[in-house]
Amino acid sequence: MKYREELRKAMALLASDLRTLFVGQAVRYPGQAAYPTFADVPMNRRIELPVAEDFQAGYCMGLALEGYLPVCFYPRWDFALLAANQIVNHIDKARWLGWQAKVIIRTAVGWSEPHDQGPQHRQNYSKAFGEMCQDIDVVELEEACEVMPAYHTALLAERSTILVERIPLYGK
Amino acid sequence: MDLIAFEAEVAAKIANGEIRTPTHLCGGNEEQLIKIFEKIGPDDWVFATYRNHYHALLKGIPPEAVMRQIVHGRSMTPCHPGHRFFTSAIVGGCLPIAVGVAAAIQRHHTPEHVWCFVGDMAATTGAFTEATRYAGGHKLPITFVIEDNGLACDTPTREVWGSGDPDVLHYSYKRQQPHLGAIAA
Repeated sequence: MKYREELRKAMALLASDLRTLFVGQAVRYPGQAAYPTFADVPMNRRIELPVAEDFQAGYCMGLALEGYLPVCFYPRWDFALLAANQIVNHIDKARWLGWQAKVIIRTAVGWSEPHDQGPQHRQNYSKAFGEMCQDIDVVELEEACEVMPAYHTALLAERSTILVERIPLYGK
Repeated sequence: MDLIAFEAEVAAKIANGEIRTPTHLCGGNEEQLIKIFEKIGPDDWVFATYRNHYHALLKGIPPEAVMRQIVHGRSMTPCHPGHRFFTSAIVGGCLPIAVGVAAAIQRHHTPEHVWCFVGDMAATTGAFTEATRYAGGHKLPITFVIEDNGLACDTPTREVWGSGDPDVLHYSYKRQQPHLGAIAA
């Protein structure tokens, strides 16, 4: 079982739900490590956004208010951190505000060994976001066997989920 | 509905201690809002700021429902999904959400329109720049309304930003190498 293949299957699973839209950077244009995992997602269901992380999270919540199920992709936690405002203040508070607005957030952690990617490319903010959010599940995907069950659960869940992948495993 | 009388009633409840949570009263913009809301249909979305009582009433939400939320401490965040009325206590917080709704409407090919109200300070933020640029660039069915009273709560918007133009250089070039090293060996 290979991690990247499981991610590809997971994205295909999400795409089988016609409510899903795949939103973020590197979802329509190749270059980032995660790009091949979207191979089975139709291009008309991918929305490439400007690099504006907080805007992206809010935009996804807006799509959700109109009945879509956005899969909001950030290549790294370090970048998703810039979306903390919308994630914590709106997506996490959606049901408190009276809305049904579920978003599946997909991000990843870089690595420090054997070659350090640097302190702005390998942070893991899962615990911090887990503590800041009351209505979002934060799930870490450390092994290939965890990927499909976690995305299947996120697809069926009533509330939003942040799934945290491991970039070093993308090549395996 | 008498907008001014409604806010006077809210002010009285604050004065007598019935309301003890942060509340931002409207006032002085009745004519402007009434004129704008003449263009807003029942199926349109309205995104408002923490100062939203008039907007809620003009969107058609019953005054009793608006007052009930205010008394229960939800003056800044009275959301009403049935009326497509969304508010947030976060300055500029509604902007990208409103754009997302407009993008969804565009994908649906339906006639609804989105109206996004922001204060003058929010209109100077990066969130506003991003939202308006994207909405304009993609011709989304959304109108932004800047409500300019010169203040962000009590902070004078123009004074704190200062005046004058920035010194910015811009050059263009063609990238020679791809993005490398993203996957572990």
